[in-house]
Amino acid sequence: MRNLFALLARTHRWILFFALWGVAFGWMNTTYSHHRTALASWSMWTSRSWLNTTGSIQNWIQLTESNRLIMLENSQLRAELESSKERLTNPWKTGYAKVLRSPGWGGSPWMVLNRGGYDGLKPGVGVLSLGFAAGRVVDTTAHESLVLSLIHPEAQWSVRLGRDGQSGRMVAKDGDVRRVKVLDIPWANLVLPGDTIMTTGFDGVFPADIPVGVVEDVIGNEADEFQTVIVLLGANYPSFRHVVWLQHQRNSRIDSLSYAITNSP
Amino acid sequence: MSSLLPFFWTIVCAFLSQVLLFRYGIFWGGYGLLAVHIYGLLKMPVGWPPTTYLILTALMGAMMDVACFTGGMHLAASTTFGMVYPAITSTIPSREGLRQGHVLNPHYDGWSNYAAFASLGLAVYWGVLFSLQNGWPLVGRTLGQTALSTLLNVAAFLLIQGLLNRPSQGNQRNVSAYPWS
Repeated sequence: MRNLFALLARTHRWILFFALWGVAFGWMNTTYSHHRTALASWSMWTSRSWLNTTGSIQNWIQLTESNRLIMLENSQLRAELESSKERLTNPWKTGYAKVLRSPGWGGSPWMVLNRGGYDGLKPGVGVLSLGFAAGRVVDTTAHESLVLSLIHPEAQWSVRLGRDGQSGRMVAKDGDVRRVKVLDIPWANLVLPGDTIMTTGFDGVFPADIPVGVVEDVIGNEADEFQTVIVLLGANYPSFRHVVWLQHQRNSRIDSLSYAITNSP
Repeated sequence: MSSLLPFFWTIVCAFLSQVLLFRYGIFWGGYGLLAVHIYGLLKMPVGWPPTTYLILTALMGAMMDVACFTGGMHLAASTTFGMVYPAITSTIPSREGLRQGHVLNPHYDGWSNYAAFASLGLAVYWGVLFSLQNGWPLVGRTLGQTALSTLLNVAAFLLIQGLLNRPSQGNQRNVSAYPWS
């Protein structure tokens, strides 16, 4: 209370000034119809603007929540879709997860999900975002997973041009979270911007024919034998919030086969 | 107290002359108005508490509104004038600084300084009053009225100062350094 009085004592001149202006306005309002009309129209405009603004904010909050729920539902539906594609022959186990750490944040190429070993994830599981390949789980805790994204500078991925085109190696493009490079594509292959890049399935992470992105540019010297294809990734790392993971029992069997000591030359 | 009597006497005279006579002085199609009561307010001494300026000017504005049926416009303009009055006085340079109780006077502070001082005060007063009267759609008219009325009143105040506020000569012999003169 003492502070309040001190504040009033410090600002009494301004308080008196505004009070006198209030009296003057009230006086004018009762004297002049023009001012009364102007004040009424101004107050209506102010209240209308305020209501519009608060309504827009409420709409935005509702839309944000709706968008979050739609993305969640989208992930669930895509997980079901992927599992139903080959349900009868080679069932891929799928599930959805929420992104806790996104690649690109702070220059990190890693992604962290809110699903871990208790949810069935283990190293080698592929991760999709909105139907596009996004990365591979390399480590898990009980409730989190660490995902190697497509933009990791030391990772290589097996992709092909379209469903039937030439396959090549896909590597990160330095400092870019939206683009990667595809190497080992001969100049003999006609590559045009807009062509789709698909997974081959050779790396055992993703099934074949999962879209990765679209061709944005082709660079390289025609004197060389190969061209470098710049690909705009379908997985938009900075913005996505939910992903789908894919796992096939056969992959672990293949891995154990590949790394068996008896197979070493 | 004795120094306040001339001030209040000036205030009363300025107010009465404005209400009874000068309020009818409307020139150039309403672009030039007289506000002689401001002349009295410009005689408020330097060094008073700022709130005192605010109260005095607000009282003057309220009385003008009651007398002229202007419905709060003079109150708003006078209140703003009283709010900025300490700042206006501080902008006027003085050879010896503005001492407590000093009343700005062209014979002492210089005619150009007094003209600048009166112009600032009148511009604030007329600016607020014409803004309230005209509103935003007539902002050009507001600026024109403010400029012309300020110039007219500054000229009138300088004339009044020259005619009525001349420094008294006194008995020169009593203060002369040359007794034989």
